Amino acid sequence: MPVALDRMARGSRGRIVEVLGGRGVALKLSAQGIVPGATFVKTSELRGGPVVLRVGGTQVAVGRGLARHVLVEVITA
Amino acid sequence: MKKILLVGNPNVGKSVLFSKITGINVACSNYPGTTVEYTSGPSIMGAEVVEVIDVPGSYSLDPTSKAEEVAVEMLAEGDVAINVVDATNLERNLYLTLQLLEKDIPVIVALNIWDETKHRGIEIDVEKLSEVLGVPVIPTNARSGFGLVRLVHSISRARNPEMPVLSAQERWPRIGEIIASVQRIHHHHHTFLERLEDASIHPTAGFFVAAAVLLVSFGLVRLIAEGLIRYVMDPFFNSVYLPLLSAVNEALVPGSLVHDILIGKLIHGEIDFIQSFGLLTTGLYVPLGMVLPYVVSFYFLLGLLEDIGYLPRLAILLDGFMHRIGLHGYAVIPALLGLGCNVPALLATRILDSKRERFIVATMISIGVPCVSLQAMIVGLLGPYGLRYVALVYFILFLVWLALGFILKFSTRGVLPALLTDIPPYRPPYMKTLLIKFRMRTLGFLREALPVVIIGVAAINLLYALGVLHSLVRITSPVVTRLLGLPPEAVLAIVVGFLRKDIGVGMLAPLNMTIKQLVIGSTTLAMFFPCVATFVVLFKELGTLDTVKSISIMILTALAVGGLLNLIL
Repeated sequence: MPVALDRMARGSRGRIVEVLGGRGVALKLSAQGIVPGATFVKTSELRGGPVVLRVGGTQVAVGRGLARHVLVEVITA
Repeated sequence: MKKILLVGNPNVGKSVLFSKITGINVACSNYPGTTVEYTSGPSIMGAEVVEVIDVPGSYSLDPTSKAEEVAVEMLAEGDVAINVVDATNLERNLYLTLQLLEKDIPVIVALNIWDETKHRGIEIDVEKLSEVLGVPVIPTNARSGFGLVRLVHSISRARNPEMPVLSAQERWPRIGEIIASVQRIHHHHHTFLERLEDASIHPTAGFFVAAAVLLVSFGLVRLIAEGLIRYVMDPFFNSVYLPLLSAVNEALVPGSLVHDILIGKLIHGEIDFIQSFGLLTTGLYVPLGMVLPYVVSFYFLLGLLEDIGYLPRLAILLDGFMHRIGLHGYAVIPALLGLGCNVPALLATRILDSKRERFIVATMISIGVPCVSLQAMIVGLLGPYGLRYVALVYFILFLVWLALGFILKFSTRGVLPALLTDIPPYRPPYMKTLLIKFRMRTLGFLREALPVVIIGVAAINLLYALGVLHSLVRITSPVVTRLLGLPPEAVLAIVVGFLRKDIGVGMLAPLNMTIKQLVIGSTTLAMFFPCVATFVVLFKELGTLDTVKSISIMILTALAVGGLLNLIL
């Protein structure tokens, strides 16, 4: 079951399933390595603030409003 | 002239590379977006003179932001592109590289920050990478200069491999394949810096780190500045400069126009560096003796924080909070820069995406963020009455800043684009670029401040002697005395504040005001109107209509807050 990025537990691993929203949003996220199929670790999440991911060797901060538009599936190892 | 473009993601060292190739100093920091306007300069390569252009950093060539649009436009005009790639972050950087290779321009890749790969256990097969991409790949280390000669010599070998155009969906899997074939990462123990990286964006520990960093920074700024004033500037002005000046004083006829302009008024028969208000007394002492020490220590600390890479983390931590005042976290960076000087702060608002956000931030900075010159004078003037009064002024300005944020959030229309940024790794500061930036900023202050101070002081003395200012004082005195509770002459300080805020605050000194009046006076002066340099930039950045709006907000806020303070203090 895909969940939104901001609903996922901190410290867990996941895979991007879908990016909701327009083409502009998808392109912006894509340039940061956030594309369907990419695996990542959610490293931090600030209360009321951004979600931080480690994806493709970099840390990326995704604002909360944007994080709600990213659907992911949790990978249980 | 052949045009050589430096193209790459934000924060990969393009600006350092640019300064090394052209010998031109540009500001470099460890956060995305230091270069918001492109810079170009000549360089000699082989037997020909070429133009090197530092293109603003972008993550892709899809025009989703201003920086990217600029990058795409400039590509059309360039002859060769040097794609600057962060070797410690190859996967991320290849996205732009692949897009670049699809374009119609010869490319050469500079695999920058090469020395860091060893510390991070990253092994890259350079020859293989060059083969896969179909263009030369040269490992470089712009800071130390490693590989730059080879890079410049290899520019003639830059090629256009005419890669097939991929869609955004197809590009990342292709990058995955390339990475798998050219890069190996050895497991390495978490370094101290990496642990600190995690702590500084941790939902709770992060705020402790932020509090510690800010407290230590402000403490150091004060410690260094006060040390410089006590042990360098004051001894110089009192023991070396004053005897010389006294000789000049005695040679001039007291009360003559020349004496009034050069020395100013004598206080109890003696020269007073703050109150005399002559060209050679106050005109030199305020910028050099009182403000310069703070400029020096502030820019040293700011440069350090920028180069280490702390600022983006602060932006991320504060993003949730900043949303409540209609901004996103990145707006704290211009605000922090504004504590140095509002001019670069307004330029830095370009890292923000929307016009509305830029208007809000620019207005908030001009009103509620006092520049270092103003702060130095407030500390100098109110400090002797006790630091709690200095703290009070800061507190009032901070409250105004917050309140204004709320008001502007609800009164301007538009949506706030969400934050999306990569977080650079902490890097140990590199002294050479740090010192270059420090020197640029300090000299910038002297070049900008000294002439304005000197012209301003001369003009005020002249106008005073001509009696022009007396009528101004008469006309405005109802507002100044009734509303603000200040002596009528305080209006001169506010007017001079338009030239420079530090001199404006200095003019409050001889008015024999109570501490309450000093607090009101300096707070109103801080908010009332931007100084002339800030005004020019505000106008350039916002355009006529928004500047008028912004300035009206400033004047109204200053009068309202000043009046309120007069009632409640």
